[in-house]
Amino acid sequence: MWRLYAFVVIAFLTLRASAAHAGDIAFSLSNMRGAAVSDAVVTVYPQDFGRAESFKFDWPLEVDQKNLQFAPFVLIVPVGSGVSFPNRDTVRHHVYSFSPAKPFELKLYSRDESRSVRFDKVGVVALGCNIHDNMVAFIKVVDTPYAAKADAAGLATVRGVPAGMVQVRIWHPYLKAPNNEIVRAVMVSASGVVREAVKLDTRAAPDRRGAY
Amino acid sequence: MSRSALTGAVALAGGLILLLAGPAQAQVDLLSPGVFSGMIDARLSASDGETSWTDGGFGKTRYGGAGGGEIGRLQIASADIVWRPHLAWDLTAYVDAAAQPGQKHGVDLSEAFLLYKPLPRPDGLRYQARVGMLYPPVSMENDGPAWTPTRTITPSAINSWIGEEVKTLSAEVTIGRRWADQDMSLTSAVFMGDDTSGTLLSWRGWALHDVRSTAFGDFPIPQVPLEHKPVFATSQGPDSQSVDEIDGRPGYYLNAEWRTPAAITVNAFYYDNGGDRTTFVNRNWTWDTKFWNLGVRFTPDDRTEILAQAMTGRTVTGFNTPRGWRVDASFDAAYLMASRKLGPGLITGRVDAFDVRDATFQTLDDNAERGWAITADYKHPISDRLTWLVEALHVHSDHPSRAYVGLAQRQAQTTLQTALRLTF
Repeated sequence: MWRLYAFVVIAFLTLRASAAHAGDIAFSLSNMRGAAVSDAVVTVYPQDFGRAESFKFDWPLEVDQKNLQFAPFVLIVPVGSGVSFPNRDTVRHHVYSFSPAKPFELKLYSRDESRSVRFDKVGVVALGCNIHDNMVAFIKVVDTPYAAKADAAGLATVRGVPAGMVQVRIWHPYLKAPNNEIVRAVMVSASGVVREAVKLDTRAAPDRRGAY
Repeated sequence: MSRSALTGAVALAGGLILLLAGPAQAQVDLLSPGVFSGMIDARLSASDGETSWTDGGFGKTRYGGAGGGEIGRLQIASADIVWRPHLAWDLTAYVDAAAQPGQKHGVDLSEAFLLYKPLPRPDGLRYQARVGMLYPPVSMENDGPAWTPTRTITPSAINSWIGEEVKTLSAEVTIGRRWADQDMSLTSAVFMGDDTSGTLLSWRGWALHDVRSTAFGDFPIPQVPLEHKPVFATSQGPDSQSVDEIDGRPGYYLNAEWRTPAAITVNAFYYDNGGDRTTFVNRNWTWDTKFWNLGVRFTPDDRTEILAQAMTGRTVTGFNTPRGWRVDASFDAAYLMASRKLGPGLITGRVDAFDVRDATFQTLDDNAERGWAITADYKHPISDRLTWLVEALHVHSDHPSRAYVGLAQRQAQTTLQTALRLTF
């Protein structure tokens, strides 16, 4: 009984603490013409943020191959995690990456075959399929639990960020910037939501049509 | 049966047997459901104007009118089964069996080749090889399953001609390199076959249609009174066998493509079938055909695509005379096309311009023409497997040799079509 009591007290205090000293940052991302930019990844690093304890996200760590496309187009993954690659098509896929963060190759024979790959370095992993040139996706391996991906409307909310000045990094595969990433400083208030509208200078997706 | 197609089929079958004779490996997959795909195109059309070239007339579109009256048609415009067996992870075959109404054979081969494509190297360098009967990399429109145009029902004049008269038995190598934001590649090939390329362009002129040449099929040449074709009266049959090898001499083509960081792709293609102008076999002449094609693709944003191609070339056949070669025609065509996503759909508009300039014997056998076309399409996805398209196509052309059969040399034609494409 005392254990349950202690748990409730600790949970209550933790909740209060986070409520009192943490806020949300709601990003609204658009390109230079004002159109929403989806699939951008926002990562937030609070001040004196050292190495994050192991953390999880609430989305599945999975890159599907379905209808000759990868889904999702961008996946945020905590460093050190495994990602599965289920083949939902009846055709074969030959998934590969030459990105320094994780070079690998997976031969996926047929429907429902799945393999897993561990991503143990922070960075961007560009995925391709050698059989279908137009299949493209990106895995963003991150070392902060404060991360979110922009939805179709260009909205991304990072929740429970400790109050104070924080460093914000915004990455998109087609962002015109060194390493396709820009860095901002944002002041997070002790409670409530900070709204950040950011203009991103993106280029059109590269021509990835294959002849065969 | 055509010699070239037979050679291609034998080479492909030989390759398959050699591979299968090796130790059975899990990577070989010949018959699982995943190696078969295909497309069926159900078409409703209404056309006015002259009789279509596909029915032996001079009409520029696939479906013609009745010389003044309108004709409506409902048909399966094409049905394709594509077999892509895996012989190894980096070696596949591609065989497209096509059924197209009005063709000599109910089912015929559209393309059949082996593709060797190893993984790119870590530094971004890649290479691939194709061997067999295939379309050279000219069309920027025909990027759908079974070489279908994906934005419109009817491809441009340029790619309609590629579809009917530029199919080769190639040994083709591509070397390319990808960087983060750009890609360059160089393709070169030697080929047999395609010796009749230029026949339709000279004697019929340009056309806009989605009929593809096949290994064993042929296309009708508009027939005119024999006094206009004295040399060819007995040596040239009424049909052109598009893929055939006649003179035993190889041709070649080259293509360079640059996908620039600025969302613009440019390519330059050169083709020379190396034809021996004076050879004929099975009542088909060898045409010596050379052409350049330049292509540009521009995507100013994620919803808009601009495509353009321009082609210029020359085709020559028959014996040389004091007044020049029997047929010596230069040809040019270009199109500009814009597509824009509209909700789930896609709207496309295209303008085509084309001409043939005849350098010899114009008073006897005038192969000149000038023309233009305008095309508008709307494409709407109904489900993952079902796509609906509707198209209006209007062609104007001035073709003097129509007068040989009592037609006005200037003709206009409109086709309204709707297609339901099922892919599987």
